[in-house]
Amino acid sequence: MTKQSVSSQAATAQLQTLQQWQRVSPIALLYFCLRLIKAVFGNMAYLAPTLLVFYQGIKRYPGYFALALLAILALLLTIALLRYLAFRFRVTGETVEIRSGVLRKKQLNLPFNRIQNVRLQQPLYYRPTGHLCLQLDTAGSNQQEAQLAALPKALATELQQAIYAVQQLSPHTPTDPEQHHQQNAAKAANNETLLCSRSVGDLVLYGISNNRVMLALGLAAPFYNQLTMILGDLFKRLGLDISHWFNPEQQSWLWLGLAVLAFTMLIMLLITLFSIAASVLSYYQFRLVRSADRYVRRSGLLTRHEISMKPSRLQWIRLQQDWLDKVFGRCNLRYEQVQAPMSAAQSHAEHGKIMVPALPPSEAQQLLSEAYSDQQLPRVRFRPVNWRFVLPSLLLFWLPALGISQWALRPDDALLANLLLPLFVLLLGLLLLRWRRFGYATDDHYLYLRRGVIGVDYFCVPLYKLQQVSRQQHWLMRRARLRHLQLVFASGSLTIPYMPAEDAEQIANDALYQAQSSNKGWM
Amino acid sequence: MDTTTFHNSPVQPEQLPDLQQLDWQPLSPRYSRLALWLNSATSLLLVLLALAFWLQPFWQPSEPNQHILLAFAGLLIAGSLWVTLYCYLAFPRKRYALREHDLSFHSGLWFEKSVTQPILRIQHIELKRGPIERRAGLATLQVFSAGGALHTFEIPGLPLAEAKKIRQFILQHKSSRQHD
Repeated sequence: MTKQSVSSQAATAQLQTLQQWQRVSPIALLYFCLRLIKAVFGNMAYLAPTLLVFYQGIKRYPGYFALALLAILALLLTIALLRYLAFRFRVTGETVEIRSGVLRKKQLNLPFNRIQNVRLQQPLYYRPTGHLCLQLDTAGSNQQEAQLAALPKALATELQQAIYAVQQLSPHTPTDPEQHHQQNAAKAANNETLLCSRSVGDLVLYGISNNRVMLALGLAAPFYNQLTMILGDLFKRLGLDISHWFNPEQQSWLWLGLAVLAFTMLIMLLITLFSIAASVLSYYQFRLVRSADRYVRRSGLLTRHEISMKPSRLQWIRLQQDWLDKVFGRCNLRYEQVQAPMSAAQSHAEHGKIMVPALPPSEAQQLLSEAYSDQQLPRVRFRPVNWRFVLPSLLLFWLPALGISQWALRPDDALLANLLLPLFVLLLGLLLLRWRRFGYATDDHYLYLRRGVIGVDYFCVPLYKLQQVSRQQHWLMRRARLRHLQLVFASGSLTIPYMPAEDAEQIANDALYQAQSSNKGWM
Repeated sequence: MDTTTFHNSPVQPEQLPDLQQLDWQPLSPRYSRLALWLNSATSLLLVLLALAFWLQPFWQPSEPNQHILLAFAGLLIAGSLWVTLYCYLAFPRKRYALREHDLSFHSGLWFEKSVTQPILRIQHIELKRGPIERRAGLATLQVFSAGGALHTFEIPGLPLAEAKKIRQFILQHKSSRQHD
């Protein structure tokens, strides 16, 4: 206790030092540089096809290319240096003020109570000096986001505590006596209870089941030609004649099929290995803890990330099970909160969310019960939606695709047309499966939703968080007494299509009633 | 304990709030007339443009292109007729409803949609008035919630006075709840 108060006194003294305009630690220069390089070369992925066009030119004049690359790097370095020099900040009273910008000067005033979330990040190269990068998130308008790129660890955590302390006193939070009690308890001892941790084995499972093999293959499509050429050269140098394996004139069909299969497997294996590495990198030493008023997630092998979220901002919990997750008997649990309107499309969308990877069902159940003590997800019986659910995709996609492909292919290539038929049967099966999977259920306080094709998503949604509800029907549905019900929450919208009209009305009425009568806030 | 007398009066199930029993209000009749006029005018303009293009002497399209252009013109005329008919039938059916705690809006002809927005979840309100709406004395009430820009709740075609009244109603509702 005494040690803590002494350290907190020392820390407030430290906070005093932030009252003057100052720069962040020089080590931030490295951070600025890397971020800039990442920004430039991250966008390079989009430019890659154009780069291919220049490929010949690069091959002809490698010297010039290297020079140009060097010049670009030097330019980036200079920009980073200028940005670093221009970035000044101070903390006065309960406001963070930031001045930045080389050509276009910007001043940002960020009162503590406007800051929704303070994220701490520790890239690998900050570890020797013990610095942290402090990200300040505000609600909604994301132009107002700010970061202090390098602060000494003690100072950063102290600032975080100070910001959170102001938030707890802000008048927006309801003065619930129980919560008050909790806050006091929190101030007495900053205790955190460990909710969940993940071992490397779990992360490997997550990496396998959540790899984006198909996505990676799709993204690599423009490079297939180059890739096969490079691979061909490589194998030829090793004394293997690959093209010989895949040549239908020299090999039997069986052998050809095996070769193609083996090749695909090899590529998938490589991508899966990458995926596992990525999973371990970002979730190493995963810890989900609950402090008095926040969920905090910490993880990362090279860069340590810390994300925190107030339980009141939680909109729903989503359990995700891809088909490989089903094989392993694992699922991923997502705490989903308010989506900043713009960030949804960006890669930053994941930042605000807490995801717990590769949970066995029992642990997922524990976490779910911890967040929503009265939920009954494991016990509810899901009700199906009407069979007309399959009609739109059947009539607008499946049937036309079948008709057109058969009409176009059958006269010329009956074999191919026949080969396509099982594919369409399979698609039909998937469509039907998607319909069977869709289920909804309610109890006194929650809506439960199950959806998916082979993988399954479960949603557990407290109804009082409702933002808006809408019901839709067209005249065919009116005759069958069906409705689409759309429930809008701050974390997104959920649609239950083709459900019985009475159920839709009842859920809509109930959700509205809970939102309006509970008087509980949504954030 | 609370000092006020404790009530537990019986409630009939029919008395519970039900979206089926909303008291729908029509929009201003000027709104659907205006929409119809505007629509006919744009359609006419498009058809005239097509006609002008057809009759112009400077550039004669070749044989297959002519057919495509003809088909295009046919589509254009059919489309504008369809939209005008839709305007005529669907716009007068748009309606809204107010309750103590929420706003509802209903629209659509063969694809009907009713949206209900709890007032408690409203973040801010805007009265939007374009130049034509201003001339007609109409206003569009826009209501924003945390559901995102895609789910902005909107009641168009309100007489200005009525729109202002509704806005006032919403603002007062919010403030009274917050003082509770």
